[in-house]
Amino acid sequence: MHVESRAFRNRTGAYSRGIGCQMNRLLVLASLLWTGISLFTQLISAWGGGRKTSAVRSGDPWRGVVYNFTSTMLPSRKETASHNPGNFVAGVIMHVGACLSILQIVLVSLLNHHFSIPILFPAILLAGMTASAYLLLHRIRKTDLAAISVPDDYIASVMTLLLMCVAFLNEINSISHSQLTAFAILFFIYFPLGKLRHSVFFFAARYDLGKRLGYRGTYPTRGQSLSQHGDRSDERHS
Amino acid sequence: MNATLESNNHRSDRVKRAIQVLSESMRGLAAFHVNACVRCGLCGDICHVHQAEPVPENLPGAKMSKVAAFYRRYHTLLGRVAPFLVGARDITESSLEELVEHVYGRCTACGRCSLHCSVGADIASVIKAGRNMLVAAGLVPPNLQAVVDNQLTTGNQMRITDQEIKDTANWIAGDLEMEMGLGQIEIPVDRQDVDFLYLVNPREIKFFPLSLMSAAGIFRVAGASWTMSSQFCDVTNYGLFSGDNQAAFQITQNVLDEAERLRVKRIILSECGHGFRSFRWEGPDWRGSPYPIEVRSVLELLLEYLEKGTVKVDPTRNPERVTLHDPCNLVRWGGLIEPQREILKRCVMEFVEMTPNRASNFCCGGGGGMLSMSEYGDRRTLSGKRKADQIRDTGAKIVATPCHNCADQLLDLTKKMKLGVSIQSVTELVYNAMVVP
Amino acid sequence: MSNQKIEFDPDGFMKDPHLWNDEVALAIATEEGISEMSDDHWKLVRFIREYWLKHDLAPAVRLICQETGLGVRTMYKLFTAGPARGACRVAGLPKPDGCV
Repeated sequence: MHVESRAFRNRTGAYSRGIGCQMNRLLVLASLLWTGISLFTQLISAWGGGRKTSAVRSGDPWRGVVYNFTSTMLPSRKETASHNPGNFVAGVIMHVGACLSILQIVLVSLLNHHFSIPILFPAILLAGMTASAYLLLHRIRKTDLAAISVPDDYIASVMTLLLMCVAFLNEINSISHSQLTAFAILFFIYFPLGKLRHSVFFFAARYDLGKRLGYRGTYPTRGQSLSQHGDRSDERHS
Repeated sequence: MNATLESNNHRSDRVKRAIQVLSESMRGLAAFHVNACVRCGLCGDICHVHQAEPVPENLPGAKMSKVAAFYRRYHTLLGRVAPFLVGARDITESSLEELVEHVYGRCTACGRCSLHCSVGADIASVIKAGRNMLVAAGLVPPNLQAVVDNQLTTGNQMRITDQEIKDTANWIAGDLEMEMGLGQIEIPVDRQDVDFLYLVNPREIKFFPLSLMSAAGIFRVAGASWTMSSQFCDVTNYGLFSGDNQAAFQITQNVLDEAERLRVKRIILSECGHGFRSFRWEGPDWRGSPYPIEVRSVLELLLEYLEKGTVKVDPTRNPERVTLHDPCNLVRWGGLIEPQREILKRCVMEFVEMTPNRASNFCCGGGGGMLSMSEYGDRRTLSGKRKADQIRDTGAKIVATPCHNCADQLLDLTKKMKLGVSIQSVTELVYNAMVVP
Repeated sequence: MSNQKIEFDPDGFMKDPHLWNDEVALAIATEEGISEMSDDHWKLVRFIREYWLKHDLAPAVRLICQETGLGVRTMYKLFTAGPARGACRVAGLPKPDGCV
């Protein structure tokens, strides 16, 4: 596999340097700090010192945590995944794409460094964009989902889609450094404000429930955990 | 003019209390889960209420977002400055009243969605925080509140008098003597210095004494030293359902004090889902300190008897096919999963599991206080459809149910959906199979 | 039903228990799957009804059995839904509190 690592060049081929660029870097750094500090503060305030239990334990809390980050995330234990394979796969691809994009955009905008694996990275980003667009369409199309959606849901979807577009354009050298940087700043200012904060609270939530259910002996679970999709009695009558 | 002003002040007090309780309940627990939800909308299919009535309001995520909307309004930046962007909502008299149906009337807090959520958000804990708020606002559905009040004022949820408890104990003991032919049998009430205090669901005293009778018969054969209490006989705790932590604490403490007065060594809980969860797991946290005494479920005790051979059973006495219902609060939230299975495998000829089972079971539809709220009776019956289908699929004749709350819902479903099964407690099946020496 | 419309709550209990009469009892019993109300059925129902009128409370199963002279197991055969959702409903009582 050919790994490509280079300093960022803009479309004209010149390396980005100079005072404007330094200013941009500072702004990116500031927005990143804002995201980090804000998410950290939110997490600490939500934690609020946590809750200690005085009940005598009957299971292993740490096994519960590990279990809640492994088995319960697979379709074999999670009905939201097994009943909606399309969404599950799209979700996984979208998240891989988004994480890769964030990494690349941070590297480029902050360190002026581009790291890529040809074909693989553009392919991941393209797949991520497709998945992201699919999920956005899903949200608009499904009445159930539209009914519970708020503007933030659409903003977050569009931002994620744009994120991967920017990373992809960067891959094919079709975006200028200043454009990329401008997007990075915008993205990181928005990041901790809306539902993208689930990127940290996902870990907090899984940790909390896993620990609690591990402590009580519910996790790891045994037995049949999945139900059939759809209405069983109708199947029987047909 | 003055009257209006006064009522406005009163109103703002109620709203203030709700805001206060919301932040207290969220901190360290529900706040993680509220912030983790991405409103993916995939949770509908997991929920028995949504399955029976697939409207957007019944999506677990939608019910949770009703509470989340309040949280965002007071605890997030965008919620404060641009509430419409994140669907944040003010806590007002009318928005609180609206919440009642969503957290009490459309949800049994069974938590199946918590275990299957795509991001891993514990939706049930957020619903609980919503109920905590409504307690502070004095908006608990009256029929549910009545049960909590009964528990606080009379020591049991059905207002059974101490005399009635004693009389019933004597009467059951008399019937048991005739049935077992072991000579005199006593069901002790208020006896001190015995091994354990046996807490029952008042329903066993008032309407369905067969489970208590069975337990007494088994205890007789096992030679147990035990007692019931005429003052605090109740294993249930409706404070857990209504979301009233203060009442729940008081109900727990009353029983602990009674156990101390009777100088018993431990407390044994009769088959009850939320009673087990309350006493075993939530009670120490409501108190803020560990119990001075051991608390166990009768299921654990029965299994101990069977394993040690203290009680011998002959499974051929339960020849029919038996399936097992997993009460949410006992299994999912209580972690008591295998003992009832071990017991049934020893006591019945044919045991079949429902699908899905254990921690992933479906709620019977009557949990979370739903059974006592007549106003939601139609939805309760309707939402039991999935459980009815599960039972039919097993082809069983007997549904063993280690929870009296579930038992009543299942009895109702049996009648309304013509399931043709009999609903029995695990204790009854053990008694049935027991070889009387 | 004798020109009068009887209303029930979603649990199937009478909204106005005072409109109860034998005819209503028969109708609810049919719903309960009781094809014919025997003397024992009536004995149970009448006792529960009278007790409720006097005490504003459903009687405990002990009282029901002792006063009517019927055994517990017999009672569950007569009313398969049990004394609360079965017999009390036929006797026109409002829904008892709690886990029933």
